Amino acid sequence: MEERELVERASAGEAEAFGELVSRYQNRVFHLAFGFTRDRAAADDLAQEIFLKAYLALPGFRGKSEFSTWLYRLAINHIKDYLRKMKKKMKREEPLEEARVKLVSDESEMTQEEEELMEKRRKLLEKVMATLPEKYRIILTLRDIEGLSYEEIASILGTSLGTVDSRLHRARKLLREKMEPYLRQEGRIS
Amino acid sequence: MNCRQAERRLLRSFDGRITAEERKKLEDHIRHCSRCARLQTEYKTLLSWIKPDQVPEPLPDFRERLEKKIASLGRPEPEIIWQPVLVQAATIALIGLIILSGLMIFLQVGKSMAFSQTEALIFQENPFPEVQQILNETQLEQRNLRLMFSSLEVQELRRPLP
Repeated sequence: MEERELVERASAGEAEAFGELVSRYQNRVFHLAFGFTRDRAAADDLAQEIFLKAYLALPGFRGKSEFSTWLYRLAINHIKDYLRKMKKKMKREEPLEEARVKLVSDESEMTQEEEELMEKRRKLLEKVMATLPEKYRIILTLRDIEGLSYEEIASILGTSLGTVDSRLHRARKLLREKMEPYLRQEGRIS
Repeated sequence: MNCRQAERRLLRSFDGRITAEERKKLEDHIRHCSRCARLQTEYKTLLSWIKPDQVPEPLPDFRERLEKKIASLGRPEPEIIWQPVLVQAATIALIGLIILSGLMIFLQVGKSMAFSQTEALIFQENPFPEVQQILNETQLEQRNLRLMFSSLEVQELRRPLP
C-alpha cells in the first residue's frame, strides 16, 4: 500500500494502517533515538513515546511534507526534551576529566583488550557528545550517525542547506577539538 | 588554498560535497601540510568512532507493545485535530479586539473634541432671544438704552427682599 494512503487511513483512525507505518519506521526512529542514548532500553522507550506522540498528532498532519520528514521532526523535538531532562542527570554523573584519567591509567590494558578499548572510546565519545550544544549534537547524529543527506536534514530542521553545511562544520570541528587529547593518545597507542 | 579553506573542504569531502577540482587542490594541500594531514587522520578516526559498530534492534514486540498503549489511550480527541485552528482563531480574535478597542478610544477622543449636547443646543438655538433682539438693534442709542433697562430689570430681580 502507498505511504500516502496509509497515512490518510491512519489519520482517519485505522489502527492497522498506523501499525503498518510503525513497522515501516520503527527501526529508523529507534536508530535515531539510539544515536543519542546509546542505550537499547532507553532508545526503545524513546521510540515508543515518539510513536505515541505521532499517533496523537497524526490527525493534524496536513501532508505538506513527507511523512518521514514530519516523523523525524517530531522525533527530534521529543529527543530535545529528553536531552534537556538528561542534562541535569549527566552533570551528576562522572565528570569528563575523571573519564580521561581512567583512559590514561588503563593504557596497558587497552593495548591488550581491544574490546575494552572500544567500549571506553564509546563511553568517552558519548560523554563528549553530551557536552556539545544541542544543535551540534543533533546535526552530528542526523548526518554522521544516521547518514541522512543535507537535504533531508535541512527539511527536518527547517533550515537552509547553507546552515546545515556551516553547522555541521562547526559541530565536527568542536568535537575534534574536544577529542583531540584522546585522538592523539590513540595515535600514540596504536 | 590556506589551512582554513582546506579544513572546510576536508569536512565537505567526507560527505562527497566537493568537486573533482576542489578535491585535487585539497589533496595537493594535504600533501604539503603536515597540520592538515594530521587533521585529516583525526577527523577520519573520529567519524569512524562516532558511528556505532553495531546498532541493536528495538526490544521484541515493539509494534505490539505500542498498540497496547494506543488501545489504552483511545482515539485522539477531535479537539486535538482542531486545536491549531482554535489557537489561530483565538489569536485573530484577540488582535481584532485590540484593534477595535484602539478604534473606539480613537473615536472617543475625536468625540470629545466635538460640542457636547448642551453646547450644541446653545449654538443652534439661542437661549436668550431677548438679548439677541437688543444686540440686533441697529441704532446705537436705542441699543444702549435697551441694555440699560434690561440690566435694571436684572438688578431688580436680584434685589433682596426687605
